[in-house]
Amino acid sequence: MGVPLPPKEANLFKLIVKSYETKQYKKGIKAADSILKKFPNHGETLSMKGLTLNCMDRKAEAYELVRLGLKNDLKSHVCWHVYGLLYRSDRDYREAIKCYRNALRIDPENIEILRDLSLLQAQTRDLAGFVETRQQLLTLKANHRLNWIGFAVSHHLNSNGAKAIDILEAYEGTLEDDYPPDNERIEHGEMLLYKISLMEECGLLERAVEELHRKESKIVDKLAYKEQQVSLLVKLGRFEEGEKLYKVLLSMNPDNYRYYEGLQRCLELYKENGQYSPDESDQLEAVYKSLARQYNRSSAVKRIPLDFLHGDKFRVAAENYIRPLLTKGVPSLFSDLSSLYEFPAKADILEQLIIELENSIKTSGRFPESSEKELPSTLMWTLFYLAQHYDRRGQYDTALKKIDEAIEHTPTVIDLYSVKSRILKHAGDLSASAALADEARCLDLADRYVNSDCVKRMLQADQVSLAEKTALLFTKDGDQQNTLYDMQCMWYELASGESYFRQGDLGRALKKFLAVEKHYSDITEDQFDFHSYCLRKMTLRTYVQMLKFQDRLHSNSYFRKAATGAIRCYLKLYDAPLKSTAEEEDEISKLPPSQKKKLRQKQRKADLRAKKEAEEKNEEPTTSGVSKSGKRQVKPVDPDPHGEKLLQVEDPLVEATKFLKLLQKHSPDVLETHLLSFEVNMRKNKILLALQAVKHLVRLDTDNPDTHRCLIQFFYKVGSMPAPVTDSEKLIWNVLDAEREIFSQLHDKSLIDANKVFFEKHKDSLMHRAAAAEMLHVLEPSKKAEATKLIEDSTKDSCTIGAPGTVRKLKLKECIIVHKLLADVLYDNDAASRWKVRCAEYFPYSTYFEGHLSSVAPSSAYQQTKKLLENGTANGNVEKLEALKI
Amino acid sequence: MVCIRKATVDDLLAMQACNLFCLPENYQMKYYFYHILSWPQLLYVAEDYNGKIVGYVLAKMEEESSESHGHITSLAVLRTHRKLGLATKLMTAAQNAMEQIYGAEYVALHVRKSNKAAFNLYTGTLGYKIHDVEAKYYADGEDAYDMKKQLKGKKTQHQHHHHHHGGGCCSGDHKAEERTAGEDKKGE
Amino acid sequence: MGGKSREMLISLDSLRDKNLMQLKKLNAALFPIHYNDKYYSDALASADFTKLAYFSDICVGAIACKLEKKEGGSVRVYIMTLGVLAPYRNVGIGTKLLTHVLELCAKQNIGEIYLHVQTNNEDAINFYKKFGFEITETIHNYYTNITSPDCYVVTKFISCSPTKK
Repeated sequence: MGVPLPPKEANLFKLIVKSYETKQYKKGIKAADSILKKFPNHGETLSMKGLTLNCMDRKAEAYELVRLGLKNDLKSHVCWHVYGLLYRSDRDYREAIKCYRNALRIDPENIEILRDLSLLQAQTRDLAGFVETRQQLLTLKANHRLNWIGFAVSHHLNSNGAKAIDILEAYEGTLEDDYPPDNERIEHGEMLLYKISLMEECGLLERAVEELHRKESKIVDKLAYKEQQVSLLVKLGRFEEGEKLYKVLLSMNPDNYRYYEGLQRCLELYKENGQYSPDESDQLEAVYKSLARQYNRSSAVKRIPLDFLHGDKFRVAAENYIRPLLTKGVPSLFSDLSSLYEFPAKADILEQLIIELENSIKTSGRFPESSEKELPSTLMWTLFYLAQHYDRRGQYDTALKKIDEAIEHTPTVIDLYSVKSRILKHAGDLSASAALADEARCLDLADRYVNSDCVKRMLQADQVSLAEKTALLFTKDGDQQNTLYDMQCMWYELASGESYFRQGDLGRALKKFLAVEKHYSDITEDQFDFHSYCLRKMTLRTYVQMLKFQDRLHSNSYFRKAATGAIRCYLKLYDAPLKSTAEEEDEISKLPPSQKKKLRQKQRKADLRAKKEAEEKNEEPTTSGVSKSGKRQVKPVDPDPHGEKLLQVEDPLVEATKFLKLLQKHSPDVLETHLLSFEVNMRKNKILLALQAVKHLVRLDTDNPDTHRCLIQFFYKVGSMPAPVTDSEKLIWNVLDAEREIFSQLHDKSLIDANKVFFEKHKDSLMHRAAAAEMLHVLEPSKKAEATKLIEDSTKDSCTIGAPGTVRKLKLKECIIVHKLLADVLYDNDAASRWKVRCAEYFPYSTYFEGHLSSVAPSSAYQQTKKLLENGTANGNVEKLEALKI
Repeated sequence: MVCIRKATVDDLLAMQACNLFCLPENYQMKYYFYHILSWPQLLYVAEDYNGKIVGYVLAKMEEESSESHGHITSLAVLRTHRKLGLATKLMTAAQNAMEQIYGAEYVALHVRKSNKAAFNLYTGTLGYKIHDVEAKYYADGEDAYDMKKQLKGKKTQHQHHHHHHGGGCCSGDHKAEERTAGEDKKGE
Repeated sequence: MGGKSREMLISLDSLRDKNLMQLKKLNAALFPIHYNDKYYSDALASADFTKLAYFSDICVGAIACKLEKKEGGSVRVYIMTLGVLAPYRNVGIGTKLLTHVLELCAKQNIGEIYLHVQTNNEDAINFYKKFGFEITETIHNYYTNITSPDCYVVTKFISCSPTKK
């Protein structure tokens, strides 16, 4: 350490530290300045001042001062510690750890620095280091509860659960018999539950059960106690006791689906795949009948049997389940039953059943064989169900008929418009879908759900600015983008990014995808404060869960979508790069001088204006927007609102690769990951990495059309490469030769034959046919007509299969993909327009195919009702004119 | 049917998504972490038959005050899943845990004055009483009812009421101090 | 519940900016007239004199009133519309809506409430008579473009009792 300060200044220095801890930054700066007046080179003061400035968003100055302080006092552990904290705040953990280590070299037993180091080790999952530091801390201060717990947790995280248990038991050995006092009972109970869960994890099941029993009175959380106990009993095969306990849990909460599952396990009547033998079904039926008597309020006991019952029994059970829910008007009934639609036989039964109910209500106002007259709303809810039923079966015409009937019956029910919006989306009319969602929204402007639903539909219809305005209605300060961003509204950012991508606005699309990526890195950072907090709070089970959650955070679907979106943007950018400024200059220089001058002037003016605006916006709030703590509250204006700068990357493929690596690490079992890897690596000419991607695709789904595309394209490209020259090229060739044999598809076959085999095998699937056709075109460009024919022949049967009243086979999404293939890849405009005509007939609501019922067609129902609405009424019946309708 | 169960850390992202989709008061992920890592017993979710989170309750204990009491930070049920009594079930579960584990004497919450459906749920089915009105509690200038329900002396068993209530039953605290409370818990 | 018909839970709610569209949907279904913005601003301004009727959580009917200042400063109520969706009629929802407004008139010492009814609409006339309304005027050719263009003015005079709360 440097020269010690005189007492007055020493006290001031303490004040700086205290002010920093209590976030009174201005006060801290003042104290620092008065020390520096007398001792301008005092290293630790300079450092602390820097650290304080860092909290006031003055980063550059902060680094300068901290570095200066360190330079002036290289032997000070405080200066090193502060430097570490500065790096820490910038999430540069590696540099921070280095600084802490330097500080500890000077002051090896400094508890504060050891603690800070341990936090970073937990954060970066340097688990061996974490164990070591926690051990040091315990050695230094063995009378702290927290140090025992920290040491135990570190061993647990470092995969040494047994050691963790030993430490916790040793810690318990240090406690008095009457421990814990009242105010520590909950924490102590949590610690015991943590220890017992460790025993379970280590397979010490008997010991865990005994310990649980012995400590029962000390465990405050009785529900957790029971859940832990039943889990152990089941693992030990003590099913009778387990059954009893599950029944106790069910009596506490008969709505917990997992208790039923556990109960079935205890009865040895549980199967992961839900396939039960007739005998087992009968047994289960009896179980649930008896449960239904006990828990007559629970809907679970009535819903679960619909999964394992079949035929007539299913019909009876389904009817008993459905009727009261239609009477009550439960809007989620269809979604509750939707998983049953994976079984066509059950879907057929449901259809018959609901139609019977509909007819009965329409003719008698009652359900069949019921004496009670139904409420008027029951018919509407029945129609509501039927609409969703037909939608699910792809019979959009009937679905729309039913939902319109329901709207005619009760035109004020918001759910009806939402469902109509969804049907229109499925049928392919995205703008009509958005319009209906907007109608739903207008019916209750105070309900954010209908607002969000509407925003979602608008984004699907690529109405981004309208969607933004609509979302803005629910944000406080009207600055919608920032509020949605600050609150991590990821569904919105993804939907918006995808829409921009579809419209070719790569800058804005990237901006949205990168925003989502930023949220994920913020969430990772969020865990930092809890490394110490949870040790104090003793919420250890949840803490460890949280760390495991963080470790697989990037496998979450929102992140996957964002990463996928970003990679696709970069691929597009690579395939069609932006014009460089030099190129633009070049173009301008070709213009006649007068125009050139005008253009330049215009550009300069625009630049100036933009610069001025940005400055004004940035300056405005600084005077008024500084809060007491000295931190600027107002965020600077986004310097790149359209994401233009994001497009100016040197090598898009390098950027893409960053995201790709995260996908490969966190989503290795998702097909899309490897499709993207294939695309990126083929462009980078990384042959072996592309081969890896193909191998993963084959592993995940050999028969997938995209797998087939990649496989054929890969070996086609390999076949067209020049003969190897260098040693490394030769090596690659050898690998490829050996690997090719591994793909059974290519065994003893040419690529052309392999493609034929693939086609024959998957003739009945449109997407497979399309893949085969595309590859035929790649392998033999002269056979374009043949390729087109492969696709067009598919419609011969499918179109008749899809006649009205039957379940649809062709999917709209796939037909659109095929159309794009015909037009943009095979360049067969005739075939493409033939395809479009057929699809327009088959999907009359599709705007893409310009179907006659879609909103782009002037005669569509959508346009008609729109006209009627504009005229004020859909109902000109004079007889109805009266001021009384009661 | 909808499953009512204790929330786990793995549910938090879905809870946040549910909140953002249907309530005007929103929180960053860290605030959810703060809740579950402080009072893991006080978070419940409603999960539909397809595994989607369609509702949740986010609650906490006010430990500083002399009288130990609970506070409902946020309660949400998607409007597609109304009329199933989910809000009641979620609230009952959280209240029971507050009482059993933390010995809470009462539980408090804020509700928008205009949110009639939520108000009816709290006063009718759940037995809350208006304790105070907080003027301009919400950022958009709306007043909040400060509501309380006494817990001690009540039966701890679940009471299954059957009640119809409208959609959008919700309460959400929004105050900036509360939203960032998680950040204040630093240092050992 | 029980008996032959299921119980209907009816409640009233006020009209606000945020649910105005509910009333518009009702009117579009009930009346062949397109009401203009003035109608809706009058209804909003009448505060508790305009109510939506809910069956469970479904909006099925409404009474919309306008408060009119008479010369001399006193206020009278004009019922612009009263209607219930067809499937939900004949269970007393209209009565509930009208009763609400009549009680409110009494509470606020409003002495006069009136409306227009087509002369051939006997159901409506009888309905209002039950509540003490009487025909006070006939206007010829009140409606345009329809077969029965004449209407009655139907009025109820409420004796103001100062003891009423």
